[in-house]
Amino acid sequence: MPEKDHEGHATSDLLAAYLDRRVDSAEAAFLEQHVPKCATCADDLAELESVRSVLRRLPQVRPPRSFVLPVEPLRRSDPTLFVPPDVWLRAAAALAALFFAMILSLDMLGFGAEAAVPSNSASVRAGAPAAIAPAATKAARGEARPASGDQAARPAESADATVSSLSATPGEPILVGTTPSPAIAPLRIASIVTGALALALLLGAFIARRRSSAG
Amino acid sequence: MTDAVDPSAAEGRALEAARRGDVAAFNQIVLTYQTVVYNVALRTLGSPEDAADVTQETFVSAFRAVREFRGGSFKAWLLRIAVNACYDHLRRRQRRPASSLDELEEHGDVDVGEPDVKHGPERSALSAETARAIQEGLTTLPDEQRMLVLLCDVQGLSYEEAAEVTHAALGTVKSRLSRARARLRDYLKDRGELPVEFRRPT
Repeated sequence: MPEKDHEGHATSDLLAAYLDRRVDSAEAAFLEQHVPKCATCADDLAELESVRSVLRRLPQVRPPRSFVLPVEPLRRSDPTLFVPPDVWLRAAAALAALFFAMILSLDMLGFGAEAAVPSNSASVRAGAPAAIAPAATKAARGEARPASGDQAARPAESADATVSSLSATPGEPILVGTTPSPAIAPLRIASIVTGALALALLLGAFIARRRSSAG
Repeated sequence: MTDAVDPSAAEGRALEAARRGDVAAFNQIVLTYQTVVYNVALRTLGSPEDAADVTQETFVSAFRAVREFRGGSFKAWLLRIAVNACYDHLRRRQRRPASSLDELEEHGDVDVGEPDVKHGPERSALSAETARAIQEGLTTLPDEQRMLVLLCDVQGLSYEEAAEVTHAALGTVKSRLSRARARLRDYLKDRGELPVEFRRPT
């Protein structure tokens, strides 16, 4: 319905819409019938049309300079070279986990054992792996290798995977933390260190992932 | 105005490249739109220096955010960034105490510099006095009304595009625009600067 004020004149909203050709047929019909007979509305329409015309004729100013962006500081790193931090952290974690698994399996195969001086109670446990030797080493090797393969292939798994590979080895007590002697085998140290490193790198990758998706 | 509905193919390719971090491709887009952005900023803020700052900020923000542009009118998306940058600038300016007369003196008389000749003869027929008067009149408008006049009447956006740019409802756009024109009409009339070429005999 055409907007009229209390005296039956067209409102300025209606006139504005008419100038922009945004009126429906009823409104257009009203205006075309009313405006020629009404000096007030005719003047209003003329003045608004004049303002609109002035605005449309305002010169478009040429920008004082170019606003192109400098290429160097804003460049996102070359996409072919750019490796997001969480990706290389995970790769490093996978590598560390691989080393951990290798060292651990070497350890369980007894290669580091010469540095250990077994105490009485510990010697039973330490002796057990040595006694079971052929079957156990084969099993350990068999367990360790797929485990390490899994580690490398699925770097994004939580650190629980590394712990479960420890307990997956049959017939072996959890070795980490139960040292055969006060002198800890260097290989044992190495396995602990690489295990901790793998965990730390995984954690770092996780944090980096969270940061980049939040930012 | 039709290319505002969908980006042209070349613009689409440039945007794709920009999304992958290609600044040089984005700069093609800068060259396309910098005149519009600069002019909106200039007539909103009334100062060439401020307008240049806002224009640069707008394109930097747009490049950083280009992955968020999902299609539709790129012009409207870009102008939305520009409009927000203008409003931020105006808010910062308001915090510095200045009377409205100072505001008029500082920002009402815009040294518009060279007109951009690409925009054709129909834009050249205004007298310098009228152009100055209308710029001063624009300064007296509330920010939202002035913005709509600049978008629709000066830059030729449709009501719908302006609604998209200002995140306002269509009805709001229409009423603000109408009120703005009425105020400008009164302002120019008081200054004796309203051309009366459109009066129809009754």
